[in-house]
Amino acid sequence: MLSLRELQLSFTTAVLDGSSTAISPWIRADGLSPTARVNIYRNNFHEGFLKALALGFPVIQRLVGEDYFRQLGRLFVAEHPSRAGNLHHIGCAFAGFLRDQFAATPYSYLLEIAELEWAYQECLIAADAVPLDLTPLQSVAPERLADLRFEVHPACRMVSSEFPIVRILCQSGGSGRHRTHRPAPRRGSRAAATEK
Amino acid sequence: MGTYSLNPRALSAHAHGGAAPAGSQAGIGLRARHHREILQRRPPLGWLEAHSENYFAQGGPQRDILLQIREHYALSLHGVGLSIGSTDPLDRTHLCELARLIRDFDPMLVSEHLSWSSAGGRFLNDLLPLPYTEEALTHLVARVREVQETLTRQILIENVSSYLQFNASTLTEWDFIAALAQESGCGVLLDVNNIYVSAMNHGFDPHTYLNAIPRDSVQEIHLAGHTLNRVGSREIRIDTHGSQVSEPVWALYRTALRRFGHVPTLIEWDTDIPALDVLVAEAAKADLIAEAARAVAA
Repeated sequence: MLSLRELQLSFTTAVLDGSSTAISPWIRADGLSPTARVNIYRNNFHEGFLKALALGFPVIQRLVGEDYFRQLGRLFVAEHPSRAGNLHHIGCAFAGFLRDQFAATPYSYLLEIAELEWAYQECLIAADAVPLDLTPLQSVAPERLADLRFEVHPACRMVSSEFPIVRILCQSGGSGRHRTHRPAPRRGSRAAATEK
Repeated sequence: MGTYSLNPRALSAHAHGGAAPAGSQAGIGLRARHHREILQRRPPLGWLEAHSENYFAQGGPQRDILLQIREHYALSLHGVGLSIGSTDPLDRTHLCELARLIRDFDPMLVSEHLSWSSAGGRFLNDLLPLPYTEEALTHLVARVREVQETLTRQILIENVSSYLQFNASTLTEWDFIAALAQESGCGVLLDVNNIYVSAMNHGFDPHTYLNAIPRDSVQEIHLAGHTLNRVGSREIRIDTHGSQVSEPVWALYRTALRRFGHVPTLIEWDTDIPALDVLVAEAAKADLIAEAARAVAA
C-alpha cells in the first residue's frame, strides 16, 4: 500500500514531469485510463500556471505572441516549478530563465523587459509609505545636510537596461496597469525607475 | 468542537449598517475586474468572498481597494493555496500572511479546500484529490487543528471536484468530510456544484452525499458552473467555475436547503469572468430559491 506521502510525490512527478508510471497503478481506471485522468490535472496545472505567468508578464506575452509564450512558459515551469501556494512568486526567476534562453541573441532585450515587469509586480504588493514631504528640508541647517539619510520608498525598484525598454513597453501598448515616471531612456542610459 | 464560536448566522453586517444580517442574502466571489464597479455601484449583495492569496501583500492598490470594499460589505476569505492536505510541513509564512489578512479584514468566514497542492516542495497550485483513507483522515484532522490553533478560529473545509479516484480509498468522500468536521471541529463549505460534478464523474448519487453531511456543520454553500467534456470515450465534467449554475445544480441546491436550512450562499465564477450584473443576477436567483425554500419550511 502506497503511503499518502508516496502517493503525493508520485502524483506530483506525473503532473510536473509527465511520467505517470508510478501513480497509475493506484488510480481507478473506471472507463478512462489513469494516464488520461492524470492528464486532466496536468492540463489544468499548465493552464493555471500559464495564465498566472501571463498576468505578470503581459508585455512579454504581447511581444513574443501567445503561442510562443506558452512554449516558453512550459519550459520555464519544468525548470522552475512554483515553490509556494501563492502564485505571486512564480515570476521571480523568469528574467533569469529568459537570459539563459536569449543571451547573445537579437532577443536579449526580452530579459530586460521581464526584469521591468517583475519590478512592477514587486511594487504592486510592496508596503505602503507616505512619500517624502520636502518642505521640512528648508529648515535643516546647512551644516547638518550631510547627516541626512533618505530611504527609498518600498514600492520603488531600479532596473538598469542596455535597451530602451520603457520605449519598447510604451510602443507595445504599455502594461495596462502601471505608470512610468521617467522619460524613455536612451540606449545605454542606465535607469528606468518605476514606481506604482 | 465548541472551542471556536464563530457562527455567521448570528453575525450582523457590522460594516455597512444594513438591516439584513451578513450572509442572509447570497454573495459573490470578488474578482479584481469588478473592484471599481462594486465600489461605485454598491450592488445589493449579501457579502463578498475574496481569494486570500490575491491579497497577500504588504500594501499596494489591491489591498487598498479591498479595505475600501470592506467598509461597505461583509467579507469572507477563501484560500486556494494552503495545501492543507499535503504531507509537506505546513507553510508557516503562508499561514502568517493569512493570519495578518484575518486581523486586517475581520472576515465573517475563513475557508480552505479538502485537497493538497504540493509535495517535496514543488507546488502544483491546483486542488488535487486525496485518497480517502484512515491515514489521510488522521493527517487532515491534525492539519486542520494546527491551522485553527494558529489562526485561533474555526475554518471551513470545502469539497473539491475530482476527475479520478484512488483505489486505496476505504472511505467515501462524504464520510471522510463528515468525520473531518467532527474530529477537527472545522465547519463545512459545501460546494453543491462540486458534489454534482464528482457524482457524475464517479457515478454516485449526490443525495447520498448531502444526506451524510451533519446538518449543523455546513456554514456556507458555493454554487458555480462547470463544463461537459469528452475525454476518450468518456464524458467528464470539469469544474471550470466559468459559467452559469446549471439546472441540476440548482435542483441539488434546493435539496441542500431543505436539509441544512438557510446557509450563506455564494456564487463563484473564476474563469471567463462575466459582467458584474451577470453575477448579481445569479445571486438574486439563489435568493429567490432560498426564499421559496423558507416559505415551504414555514
